[in-house]
Amino acid sequence: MAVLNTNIKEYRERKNIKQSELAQLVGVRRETIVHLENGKYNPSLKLAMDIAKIFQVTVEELFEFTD
Amino acid sequence: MNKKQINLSTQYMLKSFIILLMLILYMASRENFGFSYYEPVVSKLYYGCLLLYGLIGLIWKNEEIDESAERILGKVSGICLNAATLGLIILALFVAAPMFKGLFISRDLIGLLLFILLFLITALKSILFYVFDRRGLYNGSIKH
Repeated sequence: MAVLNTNIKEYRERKNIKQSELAQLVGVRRETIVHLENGKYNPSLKLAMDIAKIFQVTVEELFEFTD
Repeated sequence: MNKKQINLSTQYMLKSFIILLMLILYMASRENFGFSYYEPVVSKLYYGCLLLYGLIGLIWKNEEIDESAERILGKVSGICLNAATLGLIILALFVAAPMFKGLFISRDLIGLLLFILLFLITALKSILFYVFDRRGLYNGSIKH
């Protein structure tokens, strides 16, 4: 089964952005960002693209599927 | 003036608390409990609670429902709807089923049972939302 790995936390820490700030930037609750970072939430394509836009990376760089 | 924002869990817990307050007021207004003397005050409080339940979003700024909250609410609402249906089926069984024709159920008792059911559903909704919001809707294919 394919496993989705997220790199949001690394990019967020690199940019020195708080979870609440990132949540505000992409228009979601802080809890959603927490779940995303902990791998407990599967985001919509729009949210994934919005986050990728904030970090100026591609969606593939943020989310990676591994077998 | 900036209104204080309350998160969704708190919002649902407040609503559940208001229903509990209404249930207590309903029980207090029943003559059996000896509060009939204070009925006008209790009635005003009751309608105040009803108003507060409807206008809660105007008093405090509610947190926006985002996509994860929407997904959690979808799951929670499904569970609550099943619980409500089950409760109403049981109530309908006692009130309308021919086999309980001889059983006398007063209007007060039906009202009380409906209030209890309403409180249980709102409490269940707030608890389930809180639990799922803390735990997250785990998807087995995602790993950090």
